Formats: sequence, structure tokens, C-alpha cells
Amino acid sequence: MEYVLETKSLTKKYRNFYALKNLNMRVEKGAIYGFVGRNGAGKTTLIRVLCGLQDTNLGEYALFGKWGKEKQAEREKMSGVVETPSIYLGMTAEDNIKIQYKTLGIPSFDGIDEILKTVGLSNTGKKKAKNFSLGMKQRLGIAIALVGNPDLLLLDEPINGLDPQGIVEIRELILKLNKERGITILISSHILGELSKIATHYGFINKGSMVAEMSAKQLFEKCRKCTKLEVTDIKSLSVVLEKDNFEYKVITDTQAEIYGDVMVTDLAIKLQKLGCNIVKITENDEDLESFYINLVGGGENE
Amino acid sequence: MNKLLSANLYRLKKNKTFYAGFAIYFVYFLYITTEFITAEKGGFPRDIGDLLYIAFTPTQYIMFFPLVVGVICSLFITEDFQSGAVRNKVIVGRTKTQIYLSNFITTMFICMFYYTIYLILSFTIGGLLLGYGTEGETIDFAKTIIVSYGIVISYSAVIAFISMIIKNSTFSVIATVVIFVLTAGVAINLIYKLDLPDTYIASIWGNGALVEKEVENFMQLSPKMNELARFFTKLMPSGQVNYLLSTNYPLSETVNGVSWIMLLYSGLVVTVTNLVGLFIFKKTDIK
Repeated sequence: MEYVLETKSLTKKYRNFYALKNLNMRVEKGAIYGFVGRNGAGKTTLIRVLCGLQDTNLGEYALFGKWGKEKQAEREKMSGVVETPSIYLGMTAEDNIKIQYKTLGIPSFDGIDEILKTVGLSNTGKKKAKNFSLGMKQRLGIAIALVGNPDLLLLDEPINGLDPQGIVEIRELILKLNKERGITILISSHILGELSKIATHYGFINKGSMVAEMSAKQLFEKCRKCTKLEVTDIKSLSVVLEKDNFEYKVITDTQAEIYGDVMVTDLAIKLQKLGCNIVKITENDEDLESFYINLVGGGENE
Repeated sequence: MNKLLSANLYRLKKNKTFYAGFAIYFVYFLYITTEFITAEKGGFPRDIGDLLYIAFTPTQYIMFFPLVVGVICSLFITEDFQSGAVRNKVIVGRTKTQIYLSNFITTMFICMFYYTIYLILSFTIGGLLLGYGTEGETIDFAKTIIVSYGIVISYSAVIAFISMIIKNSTFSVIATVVIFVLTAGVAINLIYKLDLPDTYIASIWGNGALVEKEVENFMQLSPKMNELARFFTKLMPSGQVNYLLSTNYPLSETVNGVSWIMLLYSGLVVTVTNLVGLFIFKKTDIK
């Protein structure tokens, strides 16, 4: 597995407060990594550290497999939008992008039109960035970040404060950048519903520590609606479920998970006929939000 | 660092305040030239040399050049921090040292640009209207210009220092103005103290009548303080300006006697300011 970003025990302390505490994470190449945590959990601190805007007290991180001082040279392959879009408000979208071209030392301005088109700012002309809507400013921030064709893009709460239309636009843009340009994206947010529409991997952070890291598939499995059955004869249960075309998974020799809606009475009658009894039934109907609350300890965070 | 400089210059090219500063400086030049023409008509001869000494200030009390360029450069440098655009530089791998030095060089470029424009105006319009002075003054003019560039560069270092440490446009502009006005005041005061005569004639009552007697000047600085005051006036850019302007330190004496020391002091100001500024800037997080 190729990782574009790895951290080892990252720790950032402000007096007695740990913004990051022994944080370990790995971001696979090509992933859209949803970095989930409530406000103040340490998301922005981590992104700021990864962007080189802040130092850590302990720990280390690698960019594109390069640790220590070697990673500095890899920074040109990454980009990001941290907190608010970093743009010169008195300038046009094109001028803002041109300045980033200069900063990166790209000799010609070729590709500016394509970047503007990608983010949907082609027709802004001489309009100054200060007259842009919040969504447009956010897209301009991403456009600047796209200069130099980065392989890794870090986005800190990119949909904060946007209207529904703006949220959809940013979501589609992120998907497009990932699919068409193959950019690995780390996106932090506390809006789980939105993240779940784009993320391929998740990292859950609480009080500066990584609570869990998993793929979207693993998370889907955990959050999927299912009925957990404990029976006296698992083979009989399998026969009934196969016959009725249920999607299920045998967990132990007495337990299985059945996905989808189950008519428990019908199932019980059919099992009874095969001499199998139901010992216990539990239902799992956890969505992403309740999964996260359970993960980080809801009561503690309320 | 060349890439950062290139980005800064591109931004400068698009900056309206930069052009406004140019216009202000042009108006200032016209004002000074008109004043000199009026003075000439009143029987006080003026030439290009007077324009050169007065490049930094229209009067002894207001620091025109440092205030104008200080405000323009402060606004320009702090825009990077106010807009958050400095983050775009750090994220793609530009170091804090590169950012600090590129901003100092840009500030220096702006300051030198304005001063050069003033010189060009002086040697063209000013020279034509007021005359080019005597042949013997040419070397002194050249030396004055060299010393002036030294002053301009030390001002740049101080402006970059203030802007890079404070980072906020409003506070940075206020701090620049306050620091420059205060140091100008200190310099004027020190020069005044240094210019005091050793003795003065006092009228003293004695033998039933007022007699005039030469007495020691009690306001004069002690030898140690005098040395210290001389050091600071030569060290501070505002002090150097006052040296150039002081009537008690004729141009020839200034440029021949202390100009090279002043250049050395300018170098010292630039080095120390940049080292301290870099140290502080590297210690602070970028917002």
C-alpha cells in the first residue's frame, strides 16, 4: 500500500492543553480521506502542522514516504486550503492564480484557464475576489491550491458557512479532482452527512487523538442496518436465509447478521420447523453520526 | 527565494497603493521645488543640492519619506498575512527565512524605487528649474546619494521588521508611524544637544553693574553622554537624516567625515534588524 501521508505520535501541546496527542494516521494514495471530529478536536491543528504552518512538540510525519528534512522537498507536490481561503481580495481570480504560479516558479501562465474552468470561475473576468460569494472564494482558494498539479490536497472544513448550492458545488469539485486528476484529498469536517457522500476513508479524531481509522466500506458495514440473531443451529438458519435470498453474514457458530428488513415471526416459524430456536435478537440501525458519538463517547462531549 | 521575489513583484505591479505613493511623492517633489523657487525669488539661492539634502523630509520635524514608504510597505507586506496568502507559500515548501528575506528585499526595492524616482525628478526637473550647482559639489552630491541609499535600506529593514512581526495592517501602520515619529524626535533632540556650544555669554550682576561673561554651557552633555548621543544619531536612520540636514554639520564635513561610518552603521542596522526579525518570525506560528 502506498501512503502519501503518514504520522507517528504527533503531539502538539499548548501549556496544559493537548491539541494533538500521539496522533497516528495514514492516508492512502488516491483516497478521499474524511477527517472527522467535533469542533476543537484537533482537525485544524493537524492540517496546519501537515502544511508546515505550525511545529509539533513531539512526533513526526512523512509526505510521500519522506520523513524528516527530506519531506520539505515534497511540499511542492501538496497544497491546501486551511481555515479561510488564502486569497488577495483586491485582485481578480486570474491574478491570484498567477501569483501562485510565480511562487511555484512556473515560467508560463498556461493552464490558468483550465484551472478556472475546473473550479467554475471561468467567467469572473475583472471581478475582484472581494466581490465574490463565499462559495466562489472557497473555489478560488481551491483553484490556487491546484496550481502546479498537486498530488495531495488538504482541505480544512471547505463547506463551512456555504449555502446548499455551494455545498453541492464543492462536493462535486472534490469528487472531480479525485477522479479526473487522481488527487489524494484529505478533507476535515464535522458535517458527517456531507463527508459520507464523498469519503473513501475515514479518520475519527477526538481530543487530539485518532480514535479510529477505517475505509468507507468498513464504516458502511458498521453502520449498515442489520438484525443480529443468536440461534441454536446456525446451519438451519443459513438454509432458511439462502432459500429466502437474504444477504447475511455468519459471525460465530451461533450468531449471524442479516441485512435488510427481516419478518422475525416468519423467520421464527421457519426455523422452528427445522428444530432451530432463536436465543437472542438485536437490531443495529446506527448511522454515521451515532456511530461517531458512540466512538468518542457522546455523553462526555455533550 | 527568487520565486517569492517574482511573486511579490507581480503583486506590487498590481498594487494601487504603490502607484498612489508614487503620485504622493511626485506632488511632494513639486511642492519642495516650488518652495525653493519662491525662496530663490526672495534672495535665497537654491540648487539641486538642496533637493538632495531634503529628500527625506520637508521640514526638520516631519519625516516625510519614512512615513510615506513606511505606510505603503507596511500595507503591502501585511496584506500577505491579513489575507492568509502567506500560507500558500509555506504549504508549497517556502521556508520562513525565504519569506522574511524576500519581503525585506521587496520593501528595500520599494523604498529604493521611490528614492530613485525622487533623484530622477531632482536631476531633471529640479536641475532645470534650480540649476545644477557648482562643479566642486558633484563629489559631495554623489557621496550624499550613497549615504542616502544607506539610510533608505536601513529604513527598509526597520519597516520589514515591524510588518513581519506585527502582521496586522492597522497595527503595523500605526507602529511604523509612531516609531518613526518618535525616533525622529529623539534624533532631533540629540542633534540639538550635540550642537550646543561649549560656552555661552551670560549677563551677570557684579560690582553694581551687569557684566557679560563667558560661562560653561550647563545644558551640554557630559563627555560620556556626548559620545553615546553621537553614536545613536549616526546609528539611527532618523539621526543620519538629521546629520545630512543639520546646518552645523555642513555637507562636506558630513560626507567626508562621517559618511562611510554612517554607511557602516546602516549596514549594522540592516543586519541586526533582519537577524532579530528572522529569529522572532521563525518562532511564531503563521495564522
